[in-house]
Amino acid sequence: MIWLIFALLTGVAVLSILWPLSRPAPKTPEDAADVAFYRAQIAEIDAEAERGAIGKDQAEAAKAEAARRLLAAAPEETAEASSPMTRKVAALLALVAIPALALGFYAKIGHPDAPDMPLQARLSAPPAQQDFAAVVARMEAHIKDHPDDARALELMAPVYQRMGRFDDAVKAWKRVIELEGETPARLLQYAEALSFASDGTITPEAQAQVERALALDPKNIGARFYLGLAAAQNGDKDKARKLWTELLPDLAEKSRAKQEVVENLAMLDAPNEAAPGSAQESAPPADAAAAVASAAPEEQQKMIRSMVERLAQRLATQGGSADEWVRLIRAYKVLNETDKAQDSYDEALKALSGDAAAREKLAALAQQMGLKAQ
Amino acid sequence: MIVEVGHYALVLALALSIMQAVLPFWGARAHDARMMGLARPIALTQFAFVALSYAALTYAHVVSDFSLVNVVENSHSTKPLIYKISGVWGNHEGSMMLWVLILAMCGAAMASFSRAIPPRLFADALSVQGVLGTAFLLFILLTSNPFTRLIPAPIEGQDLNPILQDPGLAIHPPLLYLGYVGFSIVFSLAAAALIGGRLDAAFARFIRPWTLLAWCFLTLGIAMGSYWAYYTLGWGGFWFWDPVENASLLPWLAGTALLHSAAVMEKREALKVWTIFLAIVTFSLSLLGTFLVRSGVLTSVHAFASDPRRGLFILAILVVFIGGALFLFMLRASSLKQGGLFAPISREGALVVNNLLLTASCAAVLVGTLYPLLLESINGDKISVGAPFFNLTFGPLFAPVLILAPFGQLLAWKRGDLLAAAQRLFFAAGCGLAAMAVFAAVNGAPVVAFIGSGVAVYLIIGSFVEIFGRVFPSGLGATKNAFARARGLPRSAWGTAFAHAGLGVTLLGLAATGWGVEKIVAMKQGDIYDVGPYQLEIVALTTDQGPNYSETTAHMTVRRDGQTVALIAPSKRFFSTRRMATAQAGIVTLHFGQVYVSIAEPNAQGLIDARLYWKPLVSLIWIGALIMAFGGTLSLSDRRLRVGVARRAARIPASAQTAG
Repeated sequence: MIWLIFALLTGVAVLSILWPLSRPAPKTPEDAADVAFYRAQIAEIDAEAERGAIGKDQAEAAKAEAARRLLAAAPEETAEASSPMTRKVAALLALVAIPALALGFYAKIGHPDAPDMPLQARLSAPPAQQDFAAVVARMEAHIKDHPDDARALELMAPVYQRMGRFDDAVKAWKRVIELEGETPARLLQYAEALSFASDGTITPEAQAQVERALALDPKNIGARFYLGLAAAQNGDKDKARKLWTELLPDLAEKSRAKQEVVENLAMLDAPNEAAPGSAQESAPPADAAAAVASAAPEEQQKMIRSMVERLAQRLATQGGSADEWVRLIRAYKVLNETDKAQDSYDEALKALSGDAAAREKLAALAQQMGLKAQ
Repeated sequence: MIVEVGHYALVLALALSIMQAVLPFWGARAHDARMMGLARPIALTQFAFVALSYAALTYAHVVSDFSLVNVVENSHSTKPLIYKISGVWGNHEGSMMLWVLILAMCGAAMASFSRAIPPRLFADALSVQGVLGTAFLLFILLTSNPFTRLIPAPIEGQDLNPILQDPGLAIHPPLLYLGYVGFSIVFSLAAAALIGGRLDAAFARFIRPWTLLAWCFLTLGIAMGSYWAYYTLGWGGFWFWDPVENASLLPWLAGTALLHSAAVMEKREALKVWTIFLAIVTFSLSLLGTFLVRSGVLTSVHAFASDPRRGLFILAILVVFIGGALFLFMLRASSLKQGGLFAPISREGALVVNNLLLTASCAAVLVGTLYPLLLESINGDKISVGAPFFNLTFGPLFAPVLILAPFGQLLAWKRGDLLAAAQRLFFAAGCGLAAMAVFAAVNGAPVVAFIGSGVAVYLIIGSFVEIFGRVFPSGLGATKNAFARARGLPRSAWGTAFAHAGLGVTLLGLAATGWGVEKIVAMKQGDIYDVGPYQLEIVALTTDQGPNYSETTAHMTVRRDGQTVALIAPSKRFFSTRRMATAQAGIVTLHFGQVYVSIAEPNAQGLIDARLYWKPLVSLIWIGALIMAFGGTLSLSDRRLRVGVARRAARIPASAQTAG
């Protein structure tokens, strides 16, 4: 259908050139317009003189002047009939160039298969055909009308979280808990939303939620992980280490969660290493841990990778401290990308070549990780 | 589908523009009447495609199709319909679309209404128009495409800048662009005349209606823009010598000069070269205005660097067209035949003076606008050239224009009598001086205000002296046939009188701002403040919910001598999507003056910061512009040929000059 319209439009464009070319040529000579102009001017002078607006001799003078100008308007070279060849070339040009240009250019920039998406149609489409944004909008409209629909709220809260609307997620979870009561899962998600809303810091309020979850379910793994993280963020490494170490036996062997906790423990132990997430600036781990823990497995992998990429990019462009390089190398190792770990290690050595202490630290790391030292 | 059809139509319009640039031009060189004639159908079809494309974009805005980046960034589903439509041109991409739409419309108008133009001039002019279209369509498609899709589409847009959600926006840019782009026809005709190497009264005749039309629109556009700034920005100023405003004033000044020199050329075949030059300069300044506003160079020269493709593209367009036209001018100007002779004291001479003053004041504004930009790009210094600079340069250059305008109307073609003209202006000058004295006695200082209003009165009355002389040739006693004579006068003479008088009316409004009263107060309900002759009181405060904003309104009474003469309701609107507030000034016009109140949000104690103004005669500023445009329209409606009848000289004056 759309291609039919395109073809039609192209046809109109081409015909607007071909048709006039095929018509007989006008017969008027090229200087007809000039002659007409000065004739009209002389007639106008006569009319003025008749009305009495100008005197007789004035009119004569003006007419003489106009006549002089008419003679002076040099007749253009007489139009010799040009060969039909020129017109044929022109017609061919129009026939080829217009479709070629238009389709070629449009193919590069257009989206012929993208439909119109008027808002009203999107909102009133049957649910199965609705796009995500429309569903969210409908849900929000529903919640606005039914602020006490706990099921809707509970459905939307994680969606808000995913969309990065953390304040809305916090409100939603709070309301859900008010309406439906506390469960460890809800409390933990609420805590998560709270900490996301404050850039990944486990705020006292978030920690209070975690503690209530733990009170309901003393063995809850998520709650224990977050308590550890909160301790680490507060600089209480020993408490963090204790909590996380106790957590290890409860985690399945070879699971991502276990790897994560081991990784976090390693960071606690790293010499001079900032505790995970203690400082906002150099702290992917802060929101990282929380985000990673809560995300779906395939998402987790993606998030980790993007965080590592960001760090790598920052270090490559702006440089960084030895600790940051260590973190990057370690991350690559964890992701099983030994090549990249090695490359980063080499880069780090180059970047920190003037810093003896840093080189020593890197050398120790290389040994520990089985990288080739230089 | 509609959206993509619009997109494709725009690409087709580009292909047709290229054809329009090539085929008629080629035809003119090959002396092929049919190929020259192609200019007409191509221009019309191209306009149809651009219009289709523009309609598709408007449709997308109206139905809130958020799969277009342009709609997402500039619209919101709750926005009122009128702002969905006007919002199409309230952003960069859309405004360029409007630009091109008007350009194509001008081409189509020329193709439809210019049957009398010699075919070669016509073909070349539409070719130049085609080159312009090609450049701007490429600019849109390559750097500012409004049809860029965003999939998956978000469910809501970011709304239009609240300041632009105003009826003013619906009117101002189209008027302004009609003015800017209208001059493109004059430019194309001038370039074509230079290419063809012929220039005569017929040429001046062809450019006259287009110049007048563009000038009228530009006048209205500038006035509308200034009134819009006056009532939305909330501090009662109406002209800030801001580069964006200057960008529109520059082509206006050059266009006004062009209007006058084209009159000389049409009637007397003098000033040909100069007219061509002005035609080029006027449109060049329109392009410059577009460049300044659209490239981001104004926010900062660094913003220009942040989107270099756009800025550089417009800069390239600017260089190619202005440079190309001036180059052509350089090549051809010397070969143009010189026109009629005239003495220094003559209608022609007066128009030369007018042209010199207008172009000089235009140059002053240009320097003041570009100098800060140049300085910033060279050494990073940010300076701002404001009102003091322009008052000192533009003022003295423009003041003689105001004094001399009535003289020009009274001088005869070819050889005038200055003394006689001056004598006929005695009455107007007397009125002006009397008005000055009355204003000084009643309103007092500042000096500029009463001198300015005196000059304004002189200009208004002086504008009609010539008409008066022709309607009552032997004084007021002979009223017989006066009405018939008035009707018999060419409408262009009436047009001149009205346009000049309009200038005087605007000047009166400007001068009267000197007597304005301004108060900045913290008001609460029940407080009464004196502003000029009026007392203002807040009687109620309300909070309302608009479609996409919330609003606090202060309902106030305006009283004079205990009598309530008006109610006003200034308000503050808060737009939640953009988190921006706008002030809606409360304005009431009383005897051409205005009471103007703008408020801030009430604070915790219920006090409202308010700015209260009494601006005597301020509305005359814009009424004057309307009168000017009315004069232009009168003149435009005069389709008769102009004949400049020279007074017979007893002898050829020794001082006769050739002007070119």
